[in-house]
Amino acid sequence: MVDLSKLDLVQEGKKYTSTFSTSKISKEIINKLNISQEYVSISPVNIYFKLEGLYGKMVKVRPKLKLDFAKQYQLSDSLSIKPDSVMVVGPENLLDQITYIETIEQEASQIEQSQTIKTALYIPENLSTIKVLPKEVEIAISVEKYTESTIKIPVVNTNKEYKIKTYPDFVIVTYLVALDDFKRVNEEMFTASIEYVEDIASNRLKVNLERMPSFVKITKIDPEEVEYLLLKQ
Amino acid sequence: MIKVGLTGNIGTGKSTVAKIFESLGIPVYHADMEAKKMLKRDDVKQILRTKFGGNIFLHESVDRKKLADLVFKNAEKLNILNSIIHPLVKNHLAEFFVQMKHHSYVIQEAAILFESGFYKEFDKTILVTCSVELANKRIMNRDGVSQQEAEQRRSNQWSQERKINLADFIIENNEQDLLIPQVLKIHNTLRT
Repeated sequence: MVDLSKLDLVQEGKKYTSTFSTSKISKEIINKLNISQEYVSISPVNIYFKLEGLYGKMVKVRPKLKLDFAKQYQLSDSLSIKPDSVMVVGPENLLDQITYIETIEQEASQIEQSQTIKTALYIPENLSTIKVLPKEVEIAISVEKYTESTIKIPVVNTNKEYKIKTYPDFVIVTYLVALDDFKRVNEEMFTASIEYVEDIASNRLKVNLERMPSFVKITKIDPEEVEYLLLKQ
Repeated sequence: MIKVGLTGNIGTGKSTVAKIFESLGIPVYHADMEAKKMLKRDDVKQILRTKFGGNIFLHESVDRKKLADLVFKNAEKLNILNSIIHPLVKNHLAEFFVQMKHHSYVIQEAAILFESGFYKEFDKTILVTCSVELANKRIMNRDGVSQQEAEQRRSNQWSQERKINLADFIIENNEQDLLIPQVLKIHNTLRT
């Protein structure tokens, strides 16, 4: 065993180098094994050490999950990771390459209830000398039962310079909403609009959903485009 | 003045077509809407109560959903309802035509123009068509009903092919072909 504390270090910037002659330990081996010196040969003759200080920093954890929900179930909130940041310790030049750390990929299928997944953090091979603390995180998945519904929304023209009629003059918006929020949804919460631009080449205008409640997830707007007539003001 | 009947099976988009004609300044009589208004008349409510019973009423008003559920599942009852409402609408329409006689043509939008034989009262007929799948999709989206219910509602109407043979103009509302140019073409023909 080489006692690093007894090495003669030579500083080169932020790094240190040292050369250890293996002949220094041949005597120890002879004594320990009680053999003649002629039987002892150590290769290599020198061991070269490169040392540098260890640094640490906190980096964000990014979950790597493949989630598949049972019918009518969806995430009710963003994923919660505990801890959301971890300490990485290692040589400065390696730490400089790390801006975040991913979890090992996990899969969950047919999810229909909230759950917590414990997962290790993924350290790429080229960064294998760094240490990560802690080595595992917990990811909380909040799940809620959703229902699909539709609502009829009038299409409005945002270009006040032109009087425009659209056909149809409404769209059917299909959305997912948590059962608890279902009764809160009403037509007033949505705005579907078209924007007419002069000299437009198309005979149809795209319908944009400008405004909608934050607690719904839009799955479809039907139709996505409407025909229009420009009317005299 | 030319009298034009605009029809199409449920879910084909005839109301959208009617709105385009209205944007062009053509008076459109919405027979189905006027028929709904007739359901609020006391004399009509009395007849409906006699024919279909009190279950179709909610707080002295006709519950249109209950009435629709009843008649769309029973062709005989649908005929009875039509025999009550259609003559009233017909009289109202005659008044509408008199009021709009200065227009080159007027349109009546009605779902069962051909089935009722009422198309014979018109000089021209326009039929709005689309595929069965698209009609089902529109009914399901618009009325929040299942595919089975959508098909049930369509089943009391004549097939599209049968109506195509009787119509003077066809408008394909299939989401690929533009509607407005088709309407304009008919509009220009009827005006001249």
